[in-house]
Amino acid sequence: MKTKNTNIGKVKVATFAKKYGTLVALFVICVFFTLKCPGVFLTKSNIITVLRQISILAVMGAGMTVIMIGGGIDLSCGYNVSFCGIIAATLYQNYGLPIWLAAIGALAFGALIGLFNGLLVSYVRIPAFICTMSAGFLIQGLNQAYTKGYPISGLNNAFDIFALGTTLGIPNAIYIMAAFMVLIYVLLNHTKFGRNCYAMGGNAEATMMSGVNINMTQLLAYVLSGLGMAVAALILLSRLGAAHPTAGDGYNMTCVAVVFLGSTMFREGEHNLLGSLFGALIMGIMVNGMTLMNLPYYYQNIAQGAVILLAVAVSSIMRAKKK
Amino acid sequence: MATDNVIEIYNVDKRYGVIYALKDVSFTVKRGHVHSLMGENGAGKSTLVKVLTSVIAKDNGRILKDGQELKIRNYEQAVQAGIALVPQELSFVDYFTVAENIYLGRQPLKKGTNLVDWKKLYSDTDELLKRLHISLNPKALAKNLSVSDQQMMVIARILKDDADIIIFDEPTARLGHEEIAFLLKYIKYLKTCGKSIIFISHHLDEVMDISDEVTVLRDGHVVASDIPINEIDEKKMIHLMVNRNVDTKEDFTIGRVYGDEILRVENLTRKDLVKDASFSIRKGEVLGFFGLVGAGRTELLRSVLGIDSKLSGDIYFEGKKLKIKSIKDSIAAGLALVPEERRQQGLVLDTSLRDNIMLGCRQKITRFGLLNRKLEVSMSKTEVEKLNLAYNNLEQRASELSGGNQQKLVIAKARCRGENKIYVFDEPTRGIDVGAKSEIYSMIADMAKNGITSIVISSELPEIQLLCDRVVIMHEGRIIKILDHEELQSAETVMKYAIGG
Repeated sequence: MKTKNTNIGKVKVATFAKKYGTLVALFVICVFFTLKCPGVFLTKSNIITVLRQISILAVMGAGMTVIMIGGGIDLSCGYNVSFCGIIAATLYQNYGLPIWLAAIGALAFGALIGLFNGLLVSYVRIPAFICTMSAGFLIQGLNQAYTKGYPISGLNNAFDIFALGTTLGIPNAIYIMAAFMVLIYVLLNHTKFGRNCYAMGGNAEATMMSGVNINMTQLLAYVLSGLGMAVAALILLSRLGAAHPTAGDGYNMTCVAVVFLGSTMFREGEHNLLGSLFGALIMGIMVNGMTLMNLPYYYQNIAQGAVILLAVAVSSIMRAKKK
Repeated sequence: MATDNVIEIYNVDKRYGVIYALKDVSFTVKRGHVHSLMGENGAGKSTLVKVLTSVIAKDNGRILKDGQELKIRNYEQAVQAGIALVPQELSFVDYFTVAENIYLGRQPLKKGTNLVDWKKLYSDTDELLKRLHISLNPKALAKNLSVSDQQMMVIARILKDDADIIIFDEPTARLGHEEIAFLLKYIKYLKTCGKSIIFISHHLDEVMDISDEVTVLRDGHVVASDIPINEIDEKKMIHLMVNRNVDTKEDFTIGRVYGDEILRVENLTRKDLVKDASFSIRKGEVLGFFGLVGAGRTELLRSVLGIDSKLSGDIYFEGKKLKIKSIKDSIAAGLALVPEERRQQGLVLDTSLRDNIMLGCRQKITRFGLLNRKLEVSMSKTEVEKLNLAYNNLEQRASELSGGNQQKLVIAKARCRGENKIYVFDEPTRGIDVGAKSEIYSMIADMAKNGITSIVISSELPEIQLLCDRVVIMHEGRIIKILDHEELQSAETVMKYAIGG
């Protein structure tokens, strides 16, 4: 009787570790920074700063989550973000469009890049990895050709509303992030499209044979994600106050990493939106804490790489044990 | 001391759970003879081959080679012991040359280095192929060879290791007539070299042609062992293969009435395999499709349902010509498929029962694109309980169910749509237990009584005999014969047509 109980206990601990191990690590990181940076890290203003910082990565990660749940990947997302910022700034500055029209133009452009990737991946059947990687080069090159590498500045704080502006003392970027999260959450969990994404990622053949148009589902996933990249671009543009042709490039692989990190939380090795949000949070908190500790920038890369490897390694070992 | 028996098998059992795949199997292979193993699909031939080559372990019994107890634990040791298998599905590296494939993992090395000695590799291969009387170019790429040549390449790889017992598992299944003749001639040549052969084939003429002895398996039992070939004929062999206990037989077709013709397929031809197939089915009828592996049954129905394309042919549904471009069209018309490979084609194993059931019928219950969870739960529950599916809760993963319950889940998914007029069941009871089997039979029979038509593709003749009003028998992509319920009760007749007669 007693042994049985301890066995159940062990199983429970293992399940907890699988689902929430990374969260425990996040908690430990927070405690560490709180102790190392007393009176600075755990303050209302710093929490808001962190949330504002992660808003870009979280929005990108949400879009990427949709694609990855459906079994794909997008390695052009960072370049998409860079180009969308340029488009918004150009529409505003060179074509004199009002700010909201410039924003809509950028959103349309982001969705268009998603459409391009989606068509090639679903209908032309290029493997997603190679397709979006090549598209990344293409987008980056076109962007450079268009801007000649010069940033577009002198926007007179026109784009402040997307990130720097505040409502009730909280930066608008956080509201945008929250709204986009809710949108993706509803799409993934409460619409046919979302459930078809999960099914397609689980077993594309069975999904197709159930009469689901998997090509269209995949295409929509890429379009939706492209839209998310444009939203992230607007927040980034607002924060920087100028459109830089390489502004989003650095987020490219980090965004993929965030979704992988997220898959180690809540759902035992499956990509999920809440996990991706916490993945972005872990990344953001580490950057923030290390900045507060005045550590050189390269420590951030080392720590990020180590955390991802550790989290994924632990979750892989756990899953191998299950089998 | 040399014995004439190269392989002796005594009382071998192999159990999966409570079901015996092999029970008390004994037979003897003589040196330099061709020994054929016969039996229907699922009779246990493949399991026996796997036991012989130690791909799977036996539960009981003894295997002697050259009079000595054979102690091997995996395929590699079997090869070392001189037992080699030419598998049904050939495995080789597509983009390697013939020589590389033959010496895969055993490439000759330059002296004192770890570098591959390419010159020696090709000259060795040349020599080997000459010695074996196989005419292949050592430098040809494997992927550019014909199936027959690929098979010869694999045979060369096996003979290189000096195996003295060679097992051929349905080697002629994918060959043309001339290629078969060539292969049989080569097997006879191997015999003259003193090799012992275990030969597995569905084709009686081939077996009669090259065998010295025959052993017949049925439902995992040996029904006749080591019969000399001159003491048996094709008719007797079929009788041995299919004659089985019939004491628990129940006729599910009693009291069935059919309506008008509901589906008619005319002259359907595919790019591969299926040629000029025509059949029709009436409302409330259960139509079986029988044939040996590779007969083209699944392929024909996949084309009817729009999963694969067809070259020509028309499909009429309820009297009207139906344009089917993709599976969506056939689903919309009211055709539902319960596919052969339930784990690959039927289910998303890592998602919940509810998600699986609702996968195909969400368009009916979404409002403004939003799901109605309450309705989904109640609909899934209804379907699951109608089928008597054993489960814990609707949110558990499909992978946690047993095989029989997974099959019920696939059926629940198909039935959830509610408006289906024809169900296509592809091997509906493969690998599931007896209880679930009879439940599925009753379900198909009940649906038929309510005017819902079913097409049942099956390799198990008893299943067809119990369920079907008529059976379409296919052989090598063509419909050979359509038998009615009375006629199809004679297993001999059905098998005669299935092997092309």
